[in-house]
Formats: sequence, structure tokens, C-alpha cells
Amino acid sequence: MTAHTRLLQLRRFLQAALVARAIFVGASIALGLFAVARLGGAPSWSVVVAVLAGLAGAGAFLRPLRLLRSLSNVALWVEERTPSLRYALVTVADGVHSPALEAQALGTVWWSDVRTIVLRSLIKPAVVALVVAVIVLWNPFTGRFLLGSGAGAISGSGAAAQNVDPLAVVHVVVTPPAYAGKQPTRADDPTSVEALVGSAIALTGDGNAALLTATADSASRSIAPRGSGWSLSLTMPARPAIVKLHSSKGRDRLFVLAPIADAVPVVTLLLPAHDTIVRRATGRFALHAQVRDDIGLRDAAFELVISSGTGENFTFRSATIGHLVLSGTIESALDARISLDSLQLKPGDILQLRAVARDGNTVNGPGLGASETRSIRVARADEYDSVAVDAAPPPDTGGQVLSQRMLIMLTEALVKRQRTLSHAVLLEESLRIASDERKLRKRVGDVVFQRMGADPLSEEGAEDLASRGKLTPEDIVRLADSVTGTAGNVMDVEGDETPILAINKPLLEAFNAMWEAGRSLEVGEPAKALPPMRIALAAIEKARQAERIYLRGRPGTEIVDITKVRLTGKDKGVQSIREVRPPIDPVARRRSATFERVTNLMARDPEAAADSLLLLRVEALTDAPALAAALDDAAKALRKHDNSAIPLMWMRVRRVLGDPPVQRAGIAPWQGGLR
Amino acid sequence: MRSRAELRIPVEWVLRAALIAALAFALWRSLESDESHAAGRALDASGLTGALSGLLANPSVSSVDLTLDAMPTQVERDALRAMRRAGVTVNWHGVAPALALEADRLRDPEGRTRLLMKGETTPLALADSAGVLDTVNAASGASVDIQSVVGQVRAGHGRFAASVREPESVPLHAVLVLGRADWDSKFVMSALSEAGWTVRAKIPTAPGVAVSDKDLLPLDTSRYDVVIALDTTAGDFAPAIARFVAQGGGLIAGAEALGIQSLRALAPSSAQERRPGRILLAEDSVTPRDLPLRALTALRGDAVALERVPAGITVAARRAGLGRVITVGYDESWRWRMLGGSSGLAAHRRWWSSAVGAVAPERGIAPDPSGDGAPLAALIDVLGPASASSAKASNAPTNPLPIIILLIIPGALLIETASRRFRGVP
Amino acid sequence: MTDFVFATAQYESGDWDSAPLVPSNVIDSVARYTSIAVAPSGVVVPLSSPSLFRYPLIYLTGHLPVRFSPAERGNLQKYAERGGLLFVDDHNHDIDGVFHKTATEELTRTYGAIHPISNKHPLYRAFFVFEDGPPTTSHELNGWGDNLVHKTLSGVERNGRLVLLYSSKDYSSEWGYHPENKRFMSVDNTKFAVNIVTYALTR
Repeated sequence: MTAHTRLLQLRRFLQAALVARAIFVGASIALGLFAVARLGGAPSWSVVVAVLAGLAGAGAFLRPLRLLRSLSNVALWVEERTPSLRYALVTVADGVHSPALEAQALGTVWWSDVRTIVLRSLIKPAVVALVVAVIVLWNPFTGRFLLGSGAGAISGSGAAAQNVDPLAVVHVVVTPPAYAGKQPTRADDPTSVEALVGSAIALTGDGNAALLTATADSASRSIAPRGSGWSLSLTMPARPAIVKLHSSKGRDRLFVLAPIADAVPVVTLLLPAHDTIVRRATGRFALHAQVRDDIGLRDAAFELVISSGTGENFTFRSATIGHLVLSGTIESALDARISLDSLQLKPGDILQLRAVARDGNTVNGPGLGASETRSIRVARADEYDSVAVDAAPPPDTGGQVLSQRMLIMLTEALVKRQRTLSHAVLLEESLRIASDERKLRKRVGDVVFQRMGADPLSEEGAEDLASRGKLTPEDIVRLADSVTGTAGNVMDVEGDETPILAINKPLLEAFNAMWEAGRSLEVGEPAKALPPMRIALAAIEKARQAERIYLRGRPGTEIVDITKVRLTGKDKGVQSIREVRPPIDPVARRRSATFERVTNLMARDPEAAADSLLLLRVEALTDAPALAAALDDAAKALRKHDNSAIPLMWMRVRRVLGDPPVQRAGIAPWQGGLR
Repeated sequence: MRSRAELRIPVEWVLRAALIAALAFALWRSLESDESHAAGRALDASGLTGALSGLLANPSVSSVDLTLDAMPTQVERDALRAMRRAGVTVNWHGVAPALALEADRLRDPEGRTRLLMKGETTPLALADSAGVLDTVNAASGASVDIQSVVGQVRAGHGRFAASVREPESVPLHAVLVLGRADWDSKFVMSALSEAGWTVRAKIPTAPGVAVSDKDLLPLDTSRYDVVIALDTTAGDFAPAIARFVAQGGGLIAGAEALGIQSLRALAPSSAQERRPGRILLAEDSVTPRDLPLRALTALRGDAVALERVPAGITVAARRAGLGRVITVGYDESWRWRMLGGSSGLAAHRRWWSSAVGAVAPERGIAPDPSGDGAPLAALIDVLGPASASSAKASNAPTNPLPIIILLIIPGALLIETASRRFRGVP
Repeated sequence: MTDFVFATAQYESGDWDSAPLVPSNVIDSVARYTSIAVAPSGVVVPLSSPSLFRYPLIYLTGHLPVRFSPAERGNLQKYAERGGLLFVDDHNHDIDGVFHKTATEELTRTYGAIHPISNKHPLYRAFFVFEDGPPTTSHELNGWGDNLVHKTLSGVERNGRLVLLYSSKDYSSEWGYHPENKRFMSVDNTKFAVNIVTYALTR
């Protein structure tokens, strides 16, 4: 074998040795970083970083390969270690060939020595790599592999997977139901998952699925293996629930499933704005409504119900108009026009209409929202609603009493024509209006008076009332006394809370203003009558808005002669056993007691205390959202061992849970009061 | 004959031995607690806990002078008491604020706690084992009713605090309601049931006919805490009620029930004629002062007025026999519940529950024996009043041995070295 | 002392005053059989008015659709919370009728789910004993309305007591006569009203 050939062999050997050394170094770096990262609880992507660092390290150790491209460099490296060659080998490497040179280059057996040197240089990296690998992969104390397949990048060994805590990090992906049209959301290690009812919830983690069991509200759920980890699929229930993950290593994790209910659509009927009575069921009018939903609307329409009949004989018709498909819109307007002619309403019929809307909830819906109902009534021929157009059935014995608004219009017309009229004509027309005003005032007086619980006034009584001047509340009470003779008792049933001021103050104001107007009209001064007439109209409107007062005849009130009938019944009652009603255990008290137990547990076992808080939260979610939020924050603080936040969270929970402390000055034994 | 130099050799050996002995002794001393040899000690109360074990283990301590920069705990007080009984002079001085705290469980099914406190320094921070509760100005005394407390309750200012244990729960018995079939009877029963009381009742509905609970009788304190007689329908029970109150039971008498002679004899007052309630506007909410009222009058000497409105006394109380009696002048209190706005329901419920709790018998609640509820008083009880002299006992050790040792070591070293040098030995 | 006052609910929709003689008839019966202090005449109370809370028992009837306004619904919710009892009677005696459909829809929206009341309920023993539950009305026996004899009443309970009592039996027709006419009847058919009043006042 020539010296040149031997040089070429050595070069290949050196190249192999460099590669081997780089592998040892790279593996040592990668394994070492991986071990540090996993022990420090770093996320799974740290594996990639470790591998990249190893590759970088290995790459750095491969740089001398460049030098080996030149055979002279190899020869020089040998000459350096074998001085007896006296540059013969370098000369051979440079391509000079001669027998003497060859003999000199092969005169010393350098090739075995340099091979030994090269092999020795590999021992240290190999040992280091071996040691690191042993440390990383094998725990000598337990005899088990320390780090498992969760890393994936190491070996995927099943035995390693056995050692990963599957509950170390739990990832949650929430996919809202399709109808909501929202993107999935992710969270790591949440204490609770809040999502729309019907959302798909995927819990995933690293580690062996066989080590885990799961229950949702006490029902067991199956955990599926997923790559090197596990996954649990759930659907957000309609009621709050608790998901418990239990690992065979004895660790538990609780998650609260907090459903967000899809609110029903909010429907506002804008037209017609008020209930109405029409004289004739003809014409068309517009319907207008606003509909809105938190997720998306499916459709909306107007619903009509027509009631016909009287007494015990009623018939009903219903219909839907203006149907509008909304295809997931959040907000929309709903419009339609309705023809009263087409409904063929008869006098006395009532048309009730409302707007309704459905949302697109396909999980537990659709949610149905409805607006207020408006009534449109067709007046009978023999009735006329006197004071307000917004009214229920008119009085049975109602005369032709003009409304206050109409009286004002008549008076205004009279004032306009005043200059062209003689005084006699003016007075005659003014007296006619005054007469109507008096009739109207009588009707208002009826209402004021009836509100006190007495009979409707007799015609005489009404005239008497109407003919009186301004009335104070005291006047009306006195009048009531004089009419019924027992008004004191009648008032007593109201518990001494005279309802006159409470209910009829605006009507009393109207009553008095009408009196002012009537006086002016009776002396032929219609212009002076207008201001009090307008005051009266405003007062009637105010009364009507404050409380819907139907200026219609009331059913006659029967007064029972209690003294006469008292205990005259033939049948006798029986002793009634009052069923024992156990003391009500207010939920808040029970929750307070639970919270006290949790507080006592907190110092001993914060994890268990946090779990207990989450269990309490599940219950509170249904009826106490503020408490549920406070409990969630407290549980988070406990899990994070955030000692600065825990007292604050605790105080917040206590404030939400119970009444705040009640302070009183003094320490007298009877406390100077019971509240 | 031995030369001087030869004579100095044994002396040098003695000095070396003394030096080694002194060093050994110093080393041994250093390993011992330096406190164990103190005969008198000056201490700050804040460091008392750490120093106590040394003080108690050292029989040579003859006096302790305590500077009160914090309030000693019960354990510390007990230790000082023990030292004093063992012959150690214990003095204290410093300005400590007087604090007092008491925790009572209200006789109330809600199990609320009433904290009574008074403190010279205000405001007092109120806390329990679970955290902060409130801040209270208690210069002239204050009470705080709180839903629940956990563990130890502490009221304090800085390092000075009074603390008491969470009070134990109180056993409660039933309440008997006697009244006619009207809204007042119904809603008094409802309020008490909702508050958690066990309510029994007898409500006559017709002659010889009543709605009542089973096993209404006997009426005694083993079954009932309180009887509420709302009106004259309680007449049949009047003798039993009188016996019940004498045994220690509570009675709440409506003004109308004072028409019964034997109840009138127990009551703290009589009642005036009924006055109508305030006329209300539609948006008004009913409060107790708006209710119809039979103002209480002619209070007995031993009676106390608990509530007043401008129209007069509305609630009065007195002790009768072993029991307590309250007279209520409010009429139709149900209107407070129904027409009292958003807070009326809860306020009416709590008022009636509090009224029942106020007359319910106290059933052997053991006071907190720790004495930390009034720590300054407890300290004075243990150690007497503060020492007039504020002179601190010397903290320097009175034993001269350490100084002697300190002198021996360099002295012996110096002499031995000089001796050797004079002998010409390096 | 508070006299019991029989109150009829006035609501914005429908014919709330369709049974004007019921109040006096019930008042008569309460006076006739019990010693309960009762006011001689009833009152009419708007459901949307604060005055509603003056009357912890209130009677609601009608034939026409029932649609509560927000104020009416809010008031009724507070009324139930504070302990008031709403007695609703379908004057149509027809579970397929518009009153029943709309009223139950509105009441469910206001009170929550309505459930049948057991015929062993204390309501049926509050003063008189009705072993078989609610007494049958002549309208049921005559086959009017829905042609059904309703075996039970329905309602909603809170804290162990009724806050809503719903009847499809049409007591509004059954009790809708002048109390003087009771003397012509062999059996007083208003006795159940006494039970309702007594129940409301004592539970």
C-alpha cells in the first residue's frame, strides 16, 4: 500500500471520526436541554428548540471537515504527530512520487498511531453523550424512564409515556355550534369553560390516556388516546356541570362547564304605538317593529288574534302577516301594512297584534321573542269613548260626550270666529261647549270617585259632584263620607292609605281645570277657557300614562251586608292541620356554610379548596352570576398560589355571598333597635 | 542550679495550658446560649415569643422588664405569670391601647355573628382567619353584625389587637304564633319561616275551627323559644304564656294583644289608640314609620324603648321572670313586606327574626376563656399595672467570668511569647 | 288589624271584568262560614299598579287573550316573591281557548313552569274538606267549553306555598250570581272559594 493510499484511508477515517464526534456532542446538547426543559415544565415546543440546539452544536463540530478536503492538511496533521517523517508524507500528498520518498513516508508506522489518537479523542464525547442519555432516559431511583414519549422527539417509547403527568397541562378547544357562526377558541388550564349551549369542547393533554378517567356530572366519559396524548370530547350542556379528570397517579382536575344561554330575541313593537278604538273597521295602517338577537335571527312576523263576541260567546281567529326570513341577522326591522277591511271586523271585535321573532338556535331553540300586544277595538254603534281614545270597552250607558281634545278644538274654532259673532250667538255656542265640558267633567268625577272604592255615582250624585267647584282631596273624602256613610270603613280596607292622592291626583287636577274652563265658557269667554282645558287634557294624558284608566262603566259593586250574613252558613268548617313546614334553608346560608368549610380547608389543602370552590360555582352559575364570577377568581388565585390575591378574592366572595357587615354605634345590650 | 531561663520554661507551659483552657472555655461558652446566663432581661413584647424558651429554661433569670410594643398573647401572658409565680420579677411599661372585642352568635337561624368592640385607637381593622372583614370606628363602642366569621376574629390597630374565637352555634327552638286569620299573622309566619325559624301557629278561622299545627302543646321552653301573641285570639293561651315567660321563654305581644289582662301584666308598656299610617303617593315605599301605629306608652320602670318614630315608641322590652317580653306598636306590619319596595321583603323578614332573637332565651353559651378579647385588661390582671420606672435592666452580663477569660487569653499569649523571646527561643 | 279585601285584577288586555258578581259572592261566603274579618265589597286593582301589593290575594279572569305588559309582568313577579297569591280562572272553560293558551303562556313566562296541584294539597282542607280535589262546576258537567271535567287545578309553589293557582274549571261562571240567590241552592257551590281565601290567609 502506498503512502498516498494510506493518506486517503486516514482522511476517510478522520472524516468519520469528526462526524461521530459531532453526533455525540449534538446528542449531548439536545438531550441535556430537553431534560432541563421538561423538568422545568416547559411547553412541548421546547423539544424542537432542544433538537435545533443539538443540530447547531453538531454543525459547529463538523466545521473541521472543510480542512480534510485537502490531503496536504491530513499529511501535515500526521507529520505534526510523527516528526520522523520529515515532511515526506506532505511531499507525497502534494503528488510527488519517488521510491525514496515512498520509503521515507512508509518508514515509520504512523497510521496505527494516528488511528489510536483519533479513537481516543472520541471517548470523551461518547461518554458524555452516554451519561446524558442515561440521565435523561432512565431514573436510577425508580428504575423507570424519567421522561416519556410526550416529548415525542426522543423515542416515543411507551414506557416514557407512562411517566408524563397527563394532567400537567390541559388544553381546551371550544367550537361554538354551527348556527352561531363563530370561530373556535383555545385555552390552557382554565378553571372553567364558558361557551354557548351545544358547543363542542375538546380537552387534550400529553401522557397516556389509559392513566386517566373522566366524569361529567357523575357520569363517566371515555378518554381517547390522541397521538402521544389524550383527548376528551364533550358538548356544553344546558345546565352548569363539573368535569372531573382523575389520573391514576392520584391527581384530580376539575373544570366547570358554564353554559351561556342563547337569549331569546328582543322584539319591540313601534307601530301602532298605542291601543286604539276605531269607529269603523276600514282603512290600512302600518305595522313596524324592531327585532334583535344576541346570536342571529331566523325569522320574524306579526301575529294577529281577532276576538269576536260578547258574554259567554266568543270566537277567535288568528293569522300571521309580514313574515320575514332573516338568515342569521343580528338586528332587523319588521314592517307590514294591514287592511282592516280585509279582516272583516265587526263592531265589538278586538284585534290584538304583536310582533314575534325566532332566533337561529338549532341546539335548544329556537328562542321565541314577542313584543307587547296592541289592541285595536271596533266600537259598537251605541257607544262612544268619551275622554281617551286609548280605552277598553266603553261604558254601557255612555252618552254622546265629546273628548277633551275635541272640546278644545271646538273652543279654538269658536275663538277664531268670535269677532264675527254676536254676543248672544257666542254665548249660546260657548254654553253648548260648557255643557259638554260639564258632562266630561262628570265622567272624570266618576273615575275619581270610583277609585275610592265606592259605588259609581248616581246621576244625581254625579250632577252634584260635577256642579261643585274645585275639590281638594279632603273635599272628596268628605263627599265620599256623605254619599256612602261608611266611607271610613271603606277607606279602612285600603289600610288608611288614601288612594286619592296616590292614584287620581292628575285626574283631580283635570277635574279642577275643567271646572275653571266651564266657568269661562258659561260666561261666554272661550279664550279664557282654553288654558285650563289644555291643562285638563295634559292631566288626563298624564293620568292615562301613569296608569291605564279606562273611562268606561264599571261593573256595579255589590256591598255585602257582612253583619247580616256572618256565620249563617249551614256548613261548618273543619279543624285544619297546618302542615309542618320545615325551616326554609336559604340557599345563601348553605353556600355560606360551604364557603366556611372551604376556608378552613384552604390552609391544609389549597387544591381541594379550589376544587370545592368550583363545585360551589357550578351551583351558583344558575342563580347567582356575581357569586359564580367571584368564586372562579378565588379558585384561580388558589390554584396559582397567589397569596396576595387570595385575601382580596376571599373578601369579594364573602361580600357577594352574604350581606355586608352591618355596623352600629354603641354596644348597648338591647342594641337600641332591632334592625 | 537551674538558670532563670530554665525556670521560665515550666511557667511558659503553664501559660500555654491556661491559654488552651481559656480558649476551650470560650469555645464552650460560645456554644451555649448567651441568654442562659442573664440574671435580668429587658425585652420587647414583639420579641417575647422567641425569647420565652430561653427565659423559662434559665433559672438564673431574676427579672424581666417588658416594653409593650405589641400586645402579648394569652400564651405569653401565661408564661409571664408562671415566671412571676416562680419568683422572677416581671415588670412592664409602655402605652398600650385599651381594646375589647366580643363575639356573640345571634339567636337567629341565619347564625349571624355580632361583634361588639371598643378601642381607644381607631379605626380598628376587623379580620378573621379568612381575611379582612371591615374597618370600624369604635372609640365609643360599636357593634358589627356579620353573616359569618371563620376561626379567630381579630380587631386591632397595628400590633395591638384583641382577638376572640368564632362563637359556637346556638340551639334554637320553635316559635308559636297566635293571631287571627289575617295578613299580619300570615306574613309574620312567612317571615319567620323564611328566616329559618320553626314556626307553629294557631289561627282561628271560625268559632271552634282553627288552622293549627299538630302537637301545639305543651307550651314550655323545651319546645319553644318565643310566643308571638298578635291579638286577643291568644287569650286561651294567656295562663300558659305567663308560665312560659316565667320559665325564661320570650314573648312578643302585639299592641292589640295587650287587651288580654295577663299579657298586659307582663308587658313593658301599654298602647295608645291606633293612628293611621302615612298617606302614600304611588311611587312611595312603605317603611315602618309609615305603618299604622299604636304608640307605646306608660313604660314600666324596668322597661326599655327599643325603637321610636316621631309619633312615639314603637317597640319596648322588659324582663319578666326569667324571660323577656317585647311589645310591638306597629300595626299591619305586612304592608312593609308587600309595599316596602325592593328592600321591604328582606327588611320585614329580618326585623321579625331579630325581634324573636331578642327575646329568645340564651342557652348556655360558654364565653371565650382566652381573655384575648380584652388583652390589656388580661395583662394587667396577670402582671399588674404598668411599671412607673422605665429604666431598663442592664443588658450587659453581670457575670465577670467572660471578662476574665478575655483578659487571660491575650495576657497568657503575650507573656508566653515574651518569655520565649527573652530566652532566645524563636 | 286588616280586613280581608277581595281584589279583582285589571289587566290591559282582555275582559278582566267579565265576572262582576264573583267578588260579592266570595265575600258573602267568607262572612257566612268564617269569622275572618272581611271588607263588604271588593276592589279592582290594575296589575301594573303599586296598589297590587295591598291585596295579597288577587283574582284574575276573562275570556279574551291575556298579554301582560312589562309592568304587569314585573309587578306579578315581585308579588309572588313577596308572598302574594294570584288566582286565575279561565272564564272560557276551554283549554283549547285563547284565554287558556295566552294566559298560561304569559303565566309561565312570569312564574315559571305551571304544574298540576295534587288533590291532597292543603288547599283542599284549608276550611272545608274536598276529598276529590277541586269541586266540579256545572259548566264542566254540561259539557261546555272543552267538554272536559278537569280533575286538578294547576299552580306554582314557592317556599312550600302556592303563589299561583290556575283553574280551567270556570269558577267565574259558577260563582257569578248574586249572593242572595244562595238561599235557593241545596249546596253552596262557593265553599271552595272559602278554602282559597283561608289558604291564602293562613299559609
